[in-house]
Amino acid sequence: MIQCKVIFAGLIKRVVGTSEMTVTLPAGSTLGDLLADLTARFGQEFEDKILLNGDLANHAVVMIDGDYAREVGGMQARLDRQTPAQVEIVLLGPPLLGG
Amino acid sequence: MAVALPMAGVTEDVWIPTACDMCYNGCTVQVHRVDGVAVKIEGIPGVGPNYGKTCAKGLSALMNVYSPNRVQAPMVRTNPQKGVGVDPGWKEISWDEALDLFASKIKAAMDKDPRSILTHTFDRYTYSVAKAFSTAVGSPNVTMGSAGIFCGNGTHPVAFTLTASNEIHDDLKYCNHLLMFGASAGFVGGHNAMGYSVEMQDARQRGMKLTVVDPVLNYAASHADEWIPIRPGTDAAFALAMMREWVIVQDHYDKTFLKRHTNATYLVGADGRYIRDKATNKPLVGIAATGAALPFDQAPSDEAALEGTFTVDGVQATPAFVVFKKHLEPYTAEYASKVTSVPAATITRVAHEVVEAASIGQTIQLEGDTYPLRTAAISWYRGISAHRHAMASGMLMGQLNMLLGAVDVPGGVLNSSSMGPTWRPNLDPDGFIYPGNPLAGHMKPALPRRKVSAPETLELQELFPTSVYARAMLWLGLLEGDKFGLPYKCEVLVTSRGNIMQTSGDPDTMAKAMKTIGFIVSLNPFEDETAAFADLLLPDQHSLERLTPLVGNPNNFTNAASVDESGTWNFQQPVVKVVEKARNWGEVLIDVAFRAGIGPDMNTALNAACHITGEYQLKRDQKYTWEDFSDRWTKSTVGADHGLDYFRKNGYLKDEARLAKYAYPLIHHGGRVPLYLEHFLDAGVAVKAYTDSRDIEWDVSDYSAVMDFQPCLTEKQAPAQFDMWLVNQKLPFMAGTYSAENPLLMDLAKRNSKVFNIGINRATAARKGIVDGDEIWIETPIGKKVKGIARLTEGIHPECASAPGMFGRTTAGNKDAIGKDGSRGVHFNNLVQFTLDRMDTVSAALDSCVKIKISKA
Repeated sequence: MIQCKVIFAGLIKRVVGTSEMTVTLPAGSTLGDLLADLTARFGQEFEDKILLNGDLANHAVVMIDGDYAREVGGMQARLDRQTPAQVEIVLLGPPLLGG
Repeated sequence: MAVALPMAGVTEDVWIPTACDMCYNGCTVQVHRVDGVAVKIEGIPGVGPNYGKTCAKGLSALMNVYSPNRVQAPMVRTNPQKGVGVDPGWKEISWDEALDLFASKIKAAMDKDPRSILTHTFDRYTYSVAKAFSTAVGSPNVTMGSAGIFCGNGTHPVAFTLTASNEIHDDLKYCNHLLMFGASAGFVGGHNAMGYSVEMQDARQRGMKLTVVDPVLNYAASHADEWIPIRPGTDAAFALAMMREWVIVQDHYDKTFLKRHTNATYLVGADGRYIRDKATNKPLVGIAATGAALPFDQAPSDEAALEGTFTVDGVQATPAFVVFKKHLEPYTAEYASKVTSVPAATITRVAHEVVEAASIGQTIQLEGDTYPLRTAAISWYRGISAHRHAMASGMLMGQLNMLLGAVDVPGGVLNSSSMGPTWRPNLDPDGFIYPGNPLAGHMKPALPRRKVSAPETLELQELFPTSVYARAMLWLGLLEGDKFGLPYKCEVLVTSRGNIMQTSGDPDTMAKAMKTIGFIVSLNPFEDETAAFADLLLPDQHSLERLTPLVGNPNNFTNAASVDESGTWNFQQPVVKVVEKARNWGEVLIDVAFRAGIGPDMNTALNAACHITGEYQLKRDQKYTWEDFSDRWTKSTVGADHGLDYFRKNGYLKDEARLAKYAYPLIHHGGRVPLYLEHFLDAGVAVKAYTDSRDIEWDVSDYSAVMDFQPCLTEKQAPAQFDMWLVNQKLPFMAGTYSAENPLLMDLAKRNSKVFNIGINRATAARKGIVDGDEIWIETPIGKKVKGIARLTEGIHPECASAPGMFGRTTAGNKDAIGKDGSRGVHFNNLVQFTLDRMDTVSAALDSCVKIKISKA
């Protein structure tokens, strides 16, 4: 089993109603498995805010043990690199670039 | 008020490298400091992104830092009545008192609903800190504010569509004919203003032809080979007529580009949607030789048909290009002439000249690869964006480039963020590119398709699924959010280095909106129109006083895009002693976050917003100094050897020269761009379903797969006596309202007849009995009336009057900026109407078409 400490920051905190929690997942679980677990707990609104077409939405930043999920396998990133895993899920605001 | 003092007891004569702050382009400059006093600013020879050049704004920045008009200390409002011209009754308080008050308001708003906190800044360099603050409090509301009304609504979504980047940059290295609509790029305007101006100068000396279409003989037009005056808001008709000329009349366009790199060959059914493969759900293309239909990624692109009819499972379908071509049929040059006032022969001639100059079919060898060489391009910006149908107009500009095949290839329009491997385009399931750059990972392109939902943002962004932002809708969310289903009211506005009261349309409407906000904190170097609504006014540092990491960043749009050019990293460092109590606004927000008990989330959010990696990441339970944070951010981004120490010593870092594969990625990324906007169809249906559900009248006519011309105003909206248009023009020595705080620039403005006066065509003025220098009244159909001074010229369309956008000030630190009866210009936005029927409900642009009547005062 994998113990995951999940930290929520940004607008997603309102959806889940807490700033952090611990989730236990089967061995070999991936980020996709974790997000599916969280969607089951917190409902469709959670998924709608984090995912787009089954992948991380542009404004959703997920860090796994300090590494950006997009750079370590995305939804397939494994969560068993350290014990317990620390997953930070940050929902950023809209773009500020441009004129 | 005290004045910034020179450093006492110091004897020195040094040049200090830093980055300019007089617009948002962050040119690398050096400041000559003598005995602690900055005495001169200039570029560093050859150093980018400005190639060592500095504009009038940058040269005059000294006159801001030593201004006696700076906000000197934290002040709290004592007069509860708010408004322009109302004395706030400022009372000086300590920083501790101010920050505790600030934090208490944040905490109270978070307890009520964290989404009720709105963070605003126009400070491009540290916008990530504003984003992090907003994230830490748990709000989706962070904005650059009014930028949306004067900038990129018709540009950024198109740039994403064409290049999967936020901005486009014309490849002046290879371009032989640039056709420019409503823009100032290359003439000290737009992104990378000085760098682009140098590139423009080089291209012109090389012989590149420049044609400018604009109602005003602006700075670009005055340097062009040809200026084509056009009626405001009609560029789309001009573009459609050009496309018709290429596609229907001449049969001269880049068919190979369309087949390989767009969805022109995707089959569509009677409902306009793609015909998809049952097994893979991928759009099908028709093979001309066999009549077969194959998934787009399984068919040889060059064998796919642009025209013809196919039958798929008993359903008749045509390539999307058939629909595209058919919709061009009505747009004859004669039709466009009636709409635009440009002679049909001119439209036809320009169409011929541009497509001939594009060298369709030619290639060039670069670094071992063969690239299409397209030596003509279409450039556009605000003149296209500031209209009721901005998205449609912008997309048409993009489609002109697609028909030329001039996208991300030598000589065409280039993506602006392709420096090195950080630009990693992704492909959506239908084969279209979208940004994969981690530094732009939070952007909102139209693809992959976004869902429409009940608004949760004050700007109602959820109702704009194909736009990148909806900033100009802020007034509507503040005043009528409940009508749209917004579940909260704005409790706190934190605004820094921006002036949304003056730079948004219609200050009367904005004033009403600002008064709905419970508590407003303004962090600015100068007291401005926005501060007139603030409860707390905090003194911000001048750019010559502050530390700002990563001002110049080769991963974004203010650096050169062409091959062999290098990007430049730079930063701002304190050059002079800080005015007594001014603080860096970013540092203040971090401080407030910790006082409000959300320090750990602020650190997590800073990591995410700034993409800080590895050992440089901020730990949640530790408070960092601004300097430590800046060093970590810099090292994480540029490398361990290039932290603050490096930049303090060297000022800038020149990146490696851009390789052809990054400058011209089209043939490398394997993706497509949509000529046919099929994804707009379902987006429009979803927006209509939501707005209908709340009985809101909302125009979805521009959610079309092919873009048409529609006029900005109907006859009903503009009675006949309002027979002229007021347009505004850009000045190369002014940017935003900040420039007016600079006495040297104001002096320059006073000596230039184009700044404070109203430009009127000489023949038009004669018919109205107006002579040069007359005081005139300008009136709009809704009763707005301002006084100005007439300047007669041949350099404006006969149906138009012109005024720069940022004058007519009512509150400013520099009292010389405030004049009576038009002596310091007209406030253009005061005449722009903030009503839903004047806004583009697809891109959220505000229409700047203002019908006026002019009479002698």
